[in-house]
Amino acid sequence: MEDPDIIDLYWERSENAIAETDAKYKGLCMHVANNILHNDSDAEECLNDTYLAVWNAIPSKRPRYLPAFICRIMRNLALKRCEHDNAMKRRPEVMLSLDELDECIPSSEDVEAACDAEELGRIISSFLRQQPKRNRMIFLRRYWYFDSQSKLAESFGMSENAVKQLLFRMRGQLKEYLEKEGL
Amino acid sequence: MKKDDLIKGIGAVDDELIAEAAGREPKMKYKTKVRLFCFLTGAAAVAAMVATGFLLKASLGKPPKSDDKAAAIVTEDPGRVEAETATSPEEGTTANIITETARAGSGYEYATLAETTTKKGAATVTAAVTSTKNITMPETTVSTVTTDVPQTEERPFTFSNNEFFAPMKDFQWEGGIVNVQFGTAVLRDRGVWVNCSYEQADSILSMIHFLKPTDIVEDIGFDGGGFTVKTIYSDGSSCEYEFFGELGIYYFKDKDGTVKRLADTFGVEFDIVKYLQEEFIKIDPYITAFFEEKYGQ
Repeated sequence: MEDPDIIDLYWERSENAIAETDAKYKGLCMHVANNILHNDSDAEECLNDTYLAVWNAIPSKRPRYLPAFICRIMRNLALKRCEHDNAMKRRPEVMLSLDELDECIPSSEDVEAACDAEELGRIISSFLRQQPKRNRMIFLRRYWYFDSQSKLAESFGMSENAVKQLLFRMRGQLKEYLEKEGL
Repeated sequence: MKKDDLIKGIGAVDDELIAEAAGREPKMKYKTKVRLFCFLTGAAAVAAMVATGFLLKASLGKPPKSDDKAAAIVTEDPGRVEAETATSPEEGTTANIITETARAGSGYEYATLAETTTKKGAATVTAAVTSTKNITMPETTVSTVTTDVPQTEERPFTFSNNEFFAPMKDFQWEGGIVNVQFGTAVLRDRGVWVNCSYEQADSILSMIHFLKPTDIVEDIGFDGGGFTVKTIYSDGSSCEYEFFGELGIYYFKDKDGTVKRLADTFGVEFDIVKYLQEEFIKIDPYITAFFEEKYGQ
């Protein structure tokens, strides 16, 4: 079933919406959850919570990109669960990914300055749109979906070292971009 | 900006990009594939040609460059030369004969004849390079490499305590040619008594040793390229022997004027010839040049 049809089911408050979503996006959602939680039962719980959140969010929302909408909810729930369990340190891949992002933080004098997440998201999106498609996919697979570097190398037909180098360069470029944006 | 802000910012990336990242990995375009194939095929072909060239070159063989190879032999095995020169460093004698075969199976044999002289802190190594392969190349190439060796002290006179010379100690002949008393050596050169070094005296005596003990040495002569010993035999005949050496081989001119190898004529042991060569070189470090000039070799 196409995404607009699934969204229509949500708007119609049809329980088939959950079944269709599960049929089409369970794999993707579990991939995201497992990357963060590394635990099938925890991921299953997150998945159910995600379906509930989507059911509650649609309507009133009509997401333009349904998989991104669902994955975002799934990701946030999984990260919250990690924080709740104080178990981030037991999720090495997530920690590695987040640690790598240290290199992207601009060397601003006002280190305490808070940034609006939505605004920052818009700037990062702008940066990513300037990148080749493959590069931005790898970047987001790493820092949004928390895929491991070895998995990325396998998926994109590159060596692991090439993936590392690419991410390293992109982090540097993002840092420069953020500084240029005054952050 | 804090790290948490950045994490949240990445979390807030546009849905479009998130959806795109969740999609299939971009596949290589057909044109790109064709180009890559052509490039790789071309590169492989070039690599194959280069490798074939190298293999052909290696299989055909290459004549050694005379100077390089000779130098290389010495350079590759400097310990050998040093070891030879160190056999009697206190004596300062450094003449060597080194014959070795290098690169077994390569078709080349490098016979190295090396002789070193104790010119103030320097040694001269002469190497001859020959090939056993039937290919176009110089049959024999000689090059000279000069390398530094530690300067040795003056050799003490060993006339009386050397076992080789011991039988000579009391050797007497008409007129007597050597007087080693008072720390000097003298000999009679063409009828005139002259001072000489202990080494010269040793060398002369060692030459005389190869003549029959009963023979009388009438005179000794130096001409800059060797020395002569005139003997009078018991049958009344006389002969003037001329001694000279080259590349570790000792020669002399016989009664009839023919040049003979000392070892062939007198059955002299190799070590003794070697020793004599060492002594001979001390007498005249330019003996090789003399030999080449005189006999065209």
